[in-house]
This record gives sequence, C-alpha cells and structure tokens, in this order.
Amino acid sequence: MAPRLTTALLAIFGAVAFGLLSTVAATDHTSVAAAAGRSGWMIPGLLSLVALACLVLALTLPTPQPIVLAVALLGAAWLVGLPSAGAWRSLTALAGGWLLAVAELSFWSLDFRIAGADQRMVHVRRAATIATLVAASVALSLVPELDLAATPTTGLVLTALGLLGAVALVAVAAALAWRLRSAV
Amino acid sequence: MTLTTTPKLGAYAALGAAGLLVALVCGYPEAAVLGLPFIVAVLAALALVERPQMHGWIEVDRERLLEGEAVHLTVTVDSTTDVPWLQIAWPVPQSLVAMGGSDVLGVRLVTGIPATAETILTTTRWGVVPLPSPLLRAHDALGFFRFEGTLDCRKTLRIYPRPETLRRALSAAETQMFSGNELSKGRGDGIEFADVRPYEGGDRPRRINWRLSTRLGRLHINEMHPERNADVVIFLDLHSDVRSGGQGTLDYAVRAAASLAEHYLARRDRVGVIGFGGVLRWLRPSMGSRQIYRIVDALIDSEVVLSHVWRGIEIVPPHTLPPKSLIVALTTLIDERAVDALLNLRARHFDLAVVEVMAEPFAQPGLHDAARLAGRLWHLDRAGTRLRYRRLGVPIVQWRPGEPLQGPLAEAQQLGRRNRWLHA
Repeated sequence: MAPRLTTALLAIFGAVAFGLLSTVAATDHTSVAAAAGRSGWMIPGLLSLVALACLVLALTLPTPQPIVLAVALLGAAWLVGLPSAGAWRSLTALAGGWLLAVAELSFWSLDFRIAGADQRMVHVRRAATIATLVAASVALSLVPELDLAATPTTGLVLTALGLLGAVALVAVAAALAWRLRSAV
Repeated sequence: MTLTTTPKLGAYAALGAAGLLVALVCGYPEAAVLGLPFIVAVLAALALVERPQMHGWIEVDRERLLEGEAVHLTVTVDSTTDVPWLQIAWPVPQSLVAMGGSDVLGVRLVTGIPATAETILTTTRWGVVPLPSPLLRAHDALGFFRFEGTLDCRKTLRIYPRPETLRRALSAAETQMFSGNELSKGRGDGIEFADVRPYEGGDRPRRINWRLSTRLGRLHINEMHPERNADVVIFLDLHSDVRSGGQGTLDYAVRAAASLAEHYLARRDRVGVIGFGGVLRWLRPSMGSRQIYRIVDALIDSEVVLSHVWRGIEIVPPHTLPPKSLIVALTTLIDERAVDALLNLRARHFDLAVVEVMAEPFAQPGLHDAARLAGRLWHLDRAGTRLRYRRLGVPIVQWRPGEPLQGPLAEAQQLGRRNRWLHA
C-alpha cells in the first residue's frame, strides 16, 4: 500500500476511534448529557462526525487547513463529553497524545505529496520521531493531570500558578524563536 | 538555503493556544491538557531546528554524447549536521527524459557520511543542454521547517545528432584539385577508364594500350579520369522550424546536415556549413577529421532566431562559398529569405541541390473551412516555389522527416544529372 494512503488511513482510523471514545464517554453522566437530557451523547458524536469529514477532506484534497479544524473538533468532542469524575477524566492526557498522533499522521500523509523515491530509513526515522514525540508529550501532560487530582480547581494559588506557567511558556517560546532567528 | 515554515507549525501553535484559552476562559483545565502535546511539539521543534550546512557535487559519466544515449548523473551531498529527510530533485531539461524511477529522491543524511543520489537521463534531441542545478530540500525531524536551496552546478551536456549512414550522396558537378573519391571530368592519373588517344612524346609507357596499338599499327595510350575531391557547402535554413509533439523540422535538418558532413568528409571532400537565419553562422570548407567535430559543434548550437531583417546571400563571406562548390540546401521552403537566397546562389551558377524538409507532418490541418482553405493555399504556394526551382534546373526533392535520407538524395542525384544533360 502506498505510504501516503497508509498514513491517511491510520489517521482516519485514529480519529474514528477517538470520536467513538468521546461518544461512549458522553453516554455516562456528563454535564452536557445532564443538561441535554437523554440525547446528550449526540453532541460529541456529531462533533466527531464533522471532525472526521474535515479530516477526510483534508487528506483527499490534500490541504492542511481542515486538519486543524478536525483536531479542534475532536478535542471539543472530548471536552464536551467529559464526565465530571471517573475513569474517563484521568484519560485526558492520553487523549491529548492520541490527538497529536492523529495530527502527526495527517501531516505526514500530506508530506507524501512532495515525496519521491525515499529511502526506507527516512520513513522509519519519521515514525520513530512521531512515537517519541507522542510519548514525551503524554508523559508531560500527565504531570498536570496528576496534579489536578491533588489540588483544587479554583483559588488564588492556582491562578498564580497558571499565570506563572503562561509567562514561562511565552518566555521559552520567545527564547527559542530568538535562537531560531539567530541560527538560521 | 532558504528557511520556510510548514503550515504544521501554525496549526500546532493555534491548537495549543486554543487549548490554553479554553482552559482559562471556560475553566476547563482538561483543555490545557489536550493542548499541551501540541505546545510541546512546537517547543521541541524550535529547540531542535538547526540550519543544515551542506555542500555537494555532481558527477556526470560523460559530457559529450549522441542522441538517444543515456547519461548517468550522480549527486553527492555532505553535511555537518544530521538531516533526517533530504530531498534531491532534478529538474529534467526539455531534451532529456528521466529513465524510470522518480526525479525526486529522499535520503537521510548523517553527519560525515555523504549521501548519493543517482539518476539516468536519456537524450531525445541534439543540442547544448546546460544541466539545471539540483534542488535540495532539507526537512527538520518533526516536519515543521524546510530549508530549500540549489546545488551549484555548471555542467553542460553536448548532445550530437546521430548521423544516418549514407551509401551515396550527391555528386558535385565540378571537382577540385585535391585527390578524393569523386570522379573528375578531366583526364589524368586515375583508375577509371576515360578514352584512348594516339601516343605523344612524354606519355608514360605503362599507359600504352598494346592491344589497340597492335591492331592499328600505331601507339595509343589509355586516358583515365582522375579521382578528385569536391567542395561541399551544406546550407541550413534557420529561418523557420515547424514543431509539433516535441519534434520539429530543424531537428531533422540538423541530423541530415551532420549525416551529409560525415559522408562527404569521409570521401576527403572539403565541407563547410552555412546556417542562414536570423543570425548568420558559417564554417569555411575544410577537410579532415577535425572538421567533422567543428561542424557538429556548430550544428548543435543551431536555433531559430526571430529577425525581420531582410538578409541576402551577399552577406556570406566569399571564402565560405568556393567556386564550383556543390551546395546542398536543407530548407523547409517557408521563409522567403531562404528561398531567395538559394535562387540567388543558383543565379551565380553554383551547383545547387535542395532537400526540402517537409513541414507538412508537423503542421496539423485546421478543422474549420477557413483553415482548410488556408492550408490548401499554403500547399499551392509551396508547390509554386518548388516549380520556380525546377524551372531553373535545380534538383529539388522532398524529404519526409523520419524516413531515410538516402532515397531523396538518390532522386536529387538523378534529377541533377538529367538537368546537367539537358543544360549541356
């Protein structure tokens, strides 16, 4: 099978699985389900369907813009269907990694538009890099996830921590951008 | 190398920022957790990106080749940094075709270990082809950045026309002084019997025809035709080139010119070339193996240069057209300037033969009535031009590109002999 098709199918399969998971999670006692009544699970289901359509469109055309929308809609489906407590809630870090994997596979598929006769090692290396990136990001995401269980979700301390984190993030991004500018 | 960012960078930054924003505005910390992997990816990409310091070189197995032959190109690239995905692309010039495979090759470049990419290109048309610089595109490990540039390459391929083997070509009406393969009309030393005449003082005894002398009771000697060489000028009409489907009349005319030059030079004739077009090009007649290289080198530079200047044959340097030379013209009979120049040469009593490279196979007839009428008028006009030549005793033959040149040349030879006999 052509590498472009393989990666595209994997991305779509990942998105379908993510959407199903969001929908299944929403059938539980979620805040949205509680507000919308018995058919509350349909909202993440519909969001996932639209996301899937965007992803298929992006991979078929092929164009990168709908991928952003698809990933954002899948993320929204997860958030909307997220139960207020329980096992699903602790899976958010994994869900983030999953979304990243879907996005990576989608962009990899698009990269095959400009690919020619590539050495096999190029693709193996790319797959390994994606796996490492997803694993690292999940590991990093688990830190606040673990922290969430211990700390309250409101309060001055949390706001201060969030502000500090945001400033640190902006500072790191600015430093890296400056390095990029001077290096290249 | 030029740095470009891929849409992925903006997309990930947007997704990460959206996650943080939703977390902040809606009070959903899980949104930040969902967006965090994208931020991590962007930060990792920014931290790991490095400008690749690459240098490379190109090797060509040969720079001079014949039409239809293949050339093997090897690009070797070395880098001081690791490049996870380096793409090497060859823009294939018009007169070359890539033989199988892809013209874009992706390799992984490890520091200190050069990577090579190879391709085989086949030549389809003669000419001087500067090889385009290979394009290099280096991707970072995460696919957020691209570095694009070209590899400096100043190699030129000289593709020579593949000559057709000719058994016989046109014979010149007049020969020159040097020995060659052409039978002279005059009498002298040679091997071809011409006539017998009574012996005169100073004649060589070995030429005495003893049988006739015994019968007549008086010494007679055999006279022979000497073998001499001829001056041949190949007149190439560069005013027009009718093209269709990647081929044109000029392609075939140049191949025919190369075939004729090779044939005549092998017969020890002196051969010159006149490229009569928007830019006048000429090569004075000469003989020997070096002349064939001069001629084909001049021929592969041939091109149609648009010019509205009305030039006559008088601008051709006199030594380029030696007296008593045979002029073999390869023309499409489309441009009036070339037609007039050839008629002018005939008026100067040059031994002229015209090989018309037929433009009809490359000129598709139109579908509308007006186009069909225009086509008929065009054919009539060309027939009228041919008639003008025939009335002046010029052998003119049509050569359909793709068919052997030998046939039209034999026909021209017969027509030339008949015209000379009629003229005598």
